[in-house]
Amino acid sequence: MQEFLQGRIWLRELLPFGEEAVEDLIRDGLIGTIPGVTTFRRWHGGTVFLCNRCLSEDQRHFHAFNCRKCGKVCRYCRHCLNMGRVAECDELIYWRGPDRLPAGSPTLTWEGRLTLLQERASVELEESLLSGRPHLLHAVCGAGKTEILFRPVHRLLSEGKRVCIATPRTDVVLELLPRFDKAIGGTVIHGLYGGSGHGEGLAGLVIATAHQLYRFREAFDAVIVDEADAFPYSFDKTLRLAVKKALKPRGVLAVVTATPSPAILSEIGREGGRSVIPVRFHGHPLPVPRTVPLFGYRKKISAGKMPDRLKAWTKERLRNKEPFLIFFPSVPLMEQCHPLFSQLSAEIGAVHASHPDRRSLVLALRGGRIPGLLTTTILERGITIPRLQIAVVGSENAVFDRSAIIQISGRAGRSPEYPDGDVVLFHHGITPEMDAAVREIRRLNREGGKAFGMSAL
Amino acid sequence: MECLLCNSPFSRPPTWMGLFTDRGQSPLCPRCEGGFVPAEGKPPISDWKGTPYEGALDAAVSLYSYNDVMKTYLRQYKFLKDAALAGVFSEALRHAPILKGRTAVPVPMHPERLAERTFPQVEELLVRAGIPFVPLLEKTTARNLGRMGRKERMASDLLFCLAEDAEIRRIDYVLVDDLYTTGTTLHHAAHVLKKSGARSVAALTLIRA
Repeated sequence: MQEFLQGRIWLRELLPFGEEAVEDLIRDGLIGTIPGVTTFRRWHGGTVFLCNRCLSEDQRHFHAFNCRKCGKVCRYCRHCLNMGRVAECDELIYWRGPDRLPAGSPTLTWEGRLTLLQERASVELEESLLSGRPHLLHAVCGAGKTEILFRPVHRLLSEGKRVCIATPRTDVVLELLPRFDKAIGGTVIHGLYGGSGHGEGLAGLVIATAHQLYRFREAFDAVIVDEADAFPYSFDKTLRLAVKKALKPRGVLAVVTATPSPAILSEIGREGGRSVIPVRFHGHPLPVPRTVPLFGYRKKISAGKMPDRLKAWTKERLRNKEPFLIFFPSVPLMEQCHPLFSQLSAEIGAVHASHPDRRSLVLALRGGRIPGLLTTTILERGITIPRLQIAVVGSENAVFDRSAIIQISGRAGRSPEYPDGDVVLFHHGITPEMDAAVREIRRLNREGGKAFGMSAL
Repeated sequence: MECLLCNSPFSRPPTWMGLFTDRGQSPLCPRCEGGFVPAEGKPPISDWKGTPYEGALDAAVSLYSYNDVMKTYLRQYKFLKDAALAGVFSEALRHAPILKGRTAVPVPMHPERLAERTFPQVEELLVRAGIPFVPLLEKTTARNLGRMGRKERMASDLLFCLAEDAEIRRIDYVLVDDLYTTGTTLHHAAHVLKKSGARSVAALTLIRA
């Protein structure tokens, strides 16, 4: 039972063990319990409810009902409802006994080579993590961030420490898991996401979606937050608290991102370490997005006409046989446009978050079976397709903030053979966010060029 | 506002009424709200012809069909015990014509099941809709019909008895439940009411599976 419970905080009802065994361990003081939802008073005298699993204090998340289990008016947290309901009369339990070290002796089986910049970042990250100071790894899209992590993670594991890599999305967990499995042997690695199992044994390395961190408590010596700027990490205050909760009292936080937001910078603080990789692994600069006005595009599209500039751009991509992605701010607008694009080429597909065969469409684009895809912001990260060309329609929309535009531009020119790519922002008026994104990309390119010439290899 | 089902933010068109009350406004976003499809036709109570329960139910109505959105809803409401979702169908239930002139009787849960679920899901629907009801029945078995096949269900022993100090008058009753599958639950409940002197018994279910 210790293997399962150590570092976790779990709803008593949902424990996969017998009630008697749990009872015994509570009596022996090896398992602690706390109520699921507690109240405390604010300085102004108001009563506030707090969910002890997800640490949400947002009162809108709490729903009161007439509970037949405790016979009182009981509140439960709707914020982490999907992990099993936590109500006032429920108990959360955690391991209180002495910690056990994860089994096995990890070996680094990865044999790839790091570029000079990657090497330096890797060493700096390792130093920070070992000395217990927070670290920010600021690397542009396509810098090879995962490879940088291998060595520091291996080092921590071989010292008997528990490490967690938290990512915003299930897709990323599924992509990272096999890579780490291959790179680091001799240790237990768990991949946790909504709908995964809970894993066998005591894992040294846990790769999990950030939400899964709600279920941990004082578990890890180091938490590495990957793509920290991505939704929902940047939005959700409770997720940030969850990362804190999952760390041991002396644990360290490292953040990996392509676009550090002010919140992330303050999280790392002044004393934290920082490594910057301003160029991609192939050493070519990032494609700078260009802005093209497309005034009144909504009206035109509603009238069933394709704006001329957008049409010309798409036609050219089709003529040159270049794969392309066109980003839309919302699903309804994308669906309105889809028939218009179908007139140019019937094979152009459209994907959004709840699309059933989203993965196969992306694979079709990569394999060259379809010329291009219309998408919402779900494809803004984690996609690598050679020669990819990019357009954003309605880039003045609030969903396309600075970090989203930088991420989207980062999809272009990722392969060494085709380091360029067209990135066009079709807009109805330029926003400060668009300006900030272009400025940031130029700055990184300048830094990259200054430090190492055109090539960092 | 955040949708209770998909958690995405949405806004309602402003109305004068909305300044004062949420009554009559859905707590779901238009997308989720639009996913519920009205049930086609009435539940087939004629299936029970020739069984001892024939004629126990005089009429039956279901409001929605059991599609994917409804399955998501029911999963979150019953399995994840999200009591907040009880208010989603208040408006539809309140305006169901079959309730007119009849006294509502919710189909009860077994006390053991109730302790697990922590709230009675059918009663909660009525409470949130503001529909007055009388709890006249008690469930006698904790077995779950959901695990049984159709044949087994239709042949099972009587599932209900009258609650203590329940008084059945010669009036029209309407049983309320969440799902109509084979109709076993409702026929058994109606049988008990009829036997004890109810003039007529109708059934209203949220969903027709």
